[in-house]
Amino acid sequence: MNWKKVCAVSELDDKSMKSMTIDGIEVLVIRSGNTINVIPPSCPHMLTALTEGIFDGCVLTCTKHLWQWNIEDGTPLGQAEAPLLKYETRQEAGEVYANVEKELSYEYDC
Amino acid sequence: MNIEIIGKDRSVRFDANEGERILQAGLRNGFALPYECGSGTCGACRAKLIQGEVDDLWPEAPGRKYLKSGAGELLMCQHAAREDCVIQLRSNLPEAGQATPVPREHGGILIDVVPLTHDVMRFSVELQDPCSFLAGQFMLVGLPGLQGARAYSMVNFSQSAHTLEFVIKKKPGGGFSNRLFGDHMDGVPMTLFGPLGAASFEAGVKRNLLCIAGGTGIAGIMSILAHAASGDYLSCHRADVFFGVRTSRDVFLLRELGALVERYPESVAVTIALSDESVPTGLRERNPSLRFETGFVHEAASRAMAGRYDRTRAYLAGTPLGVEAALKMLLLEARLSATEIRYDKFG
Ligand SMILES: Cc1cc2nc3c(=O)[nH]c(=O)nc-3n(C[C@H](O)[C@H](O)[C@H](O)COP(=O)(O)OP(=O)(O)OC[C@H]3O[C@@H](n4cnc5c(N)ncnc54)[C@H](O)[C@@H]3O)c2cc1C
Ligand code: FES
Ligand code: FES
Repeated sequence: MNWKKVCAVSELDDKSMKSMTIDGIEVLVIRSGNTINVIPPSCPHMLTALTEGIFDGCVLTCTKHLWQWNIEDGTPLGQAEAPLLKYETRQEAGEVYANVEKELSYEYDC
Repeated sequence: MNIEIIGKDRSVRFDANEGERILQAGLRNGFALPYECGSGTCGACRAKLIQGEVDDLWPEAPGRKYLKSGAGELLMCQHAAREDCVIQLRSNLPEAGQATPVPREHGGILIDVVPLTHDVMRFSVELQDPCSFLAGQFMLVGLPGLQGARAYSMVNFSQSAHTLEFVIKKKPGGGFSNRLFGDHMDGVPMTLFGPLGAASFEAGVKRNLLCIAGGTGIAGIMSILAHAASGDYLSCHRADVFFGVRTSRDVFLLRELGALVERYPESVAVTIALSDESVPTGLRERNPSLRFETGFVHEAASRAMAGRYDRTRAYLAGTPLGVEAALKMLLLEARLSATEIRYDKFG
């Protein structure tokens, strides 16, 4: 376990995304309502930066080839063939913590 | 040489000739493989070489910027096998569309090079053998003495075409476009590979058509409209066309677009958006069937289409930036499903 503080929930606007580096690992932090998701910053398809994607509060779309995911559980939607990986998170007193023990990434063989 | 392509879901094997681009070898053999531009810029044909030796036919390809260095990655559209190869994809192998014609090499000669604006030309290629393609598809076009091929979308449509029509914009310093703008091009032999591309239209889609094009992005849209107008599609479905250019000096194909509106006044609407100029006097009067607006083309589409996205299939084409702006509008504002969007990024 390597729990690190990410940010306060209030630091992010609702339905927004922010790139951050936590303990040397680049991540994308996404807020929908009071839920914060912490994911690897790149698309499982061709590793396009997901900060350039479109997030409507519920569905994340990579604009490169339109893969989409339900952010709540990372499940692929539409043309997407692979789920989003997520870092384990928890909230305490308005602060978000993520377990960044191992960098998550999308390889050819996964 | 035998090539094995391993997708996440299954594998295929085919033969490739010496010096033949791996992507083209697979497509010619009737297999669907991941690609978008087919011409070294987009990175969509990225894959990993597991076994075998390859030649890089264009080491400066802009699409290489998407490859992880030192990871044994290649662009299937710019590499040829030197021996038997095994190649792994980052995704599943796409399904080969039932109706999609198998691409192959075509020979033809350049005819009818006609200027349309100060920097757009129309040209045609008379083919040695007729070719079938889907409306909205493109060809990789090569000129003698010019390294590499360029992607150009067909403007016309015919079930079995003897002539392919294109429109091309002059790019400063561009190899192909500047040759075309030179003298004595009529009769020059050309080699083509195709048809290619998934931003295609078939009458079976049974949707209203929303077309958003910037500049020569209108090419494939013209083909789609020509196909739709060749049957009774536009008697039962709408086509809303938004065509963006910079100024009134840059408009072209207005007569053709106007004629379509006159033929289907109830179901076809065409808006020309000028991004860098307010609509000059006389333009509306000269083109009474067309609408003109000032602003970016995706904004014109957003204003005109609000609340009218029911059963709609969108086709987008133009520069990567223009296409991304339209994508954003359609997904966020219009809440159109991504599965109803087809696009070609030129470049
Ligand atoms: C799907 C698609 C459809 C397109 N349709 C149209 C259209 O209908 N009309 C239009 O005007 N433009 C279209 N384009 C853009 C067009 O393909 C060219 O990029 C543009 O005309 C500039 O070509 P150029 O030769 O003048 O410029 P250049 O800068 O000389 O070349 C541009 C392109 O040619 C290819 N190329 C250059 N050198 C090499 C080499 N050594 N080896 C291999 N390839 C090389 C690359 O794809 C490069 O991006 C389309 C692009 C795409 C991806
Ligand atoms: S890189 Fe994201 S969808 Fe292809
Ligand atoms: S298909 Fe090869 S780089 Fe675009």
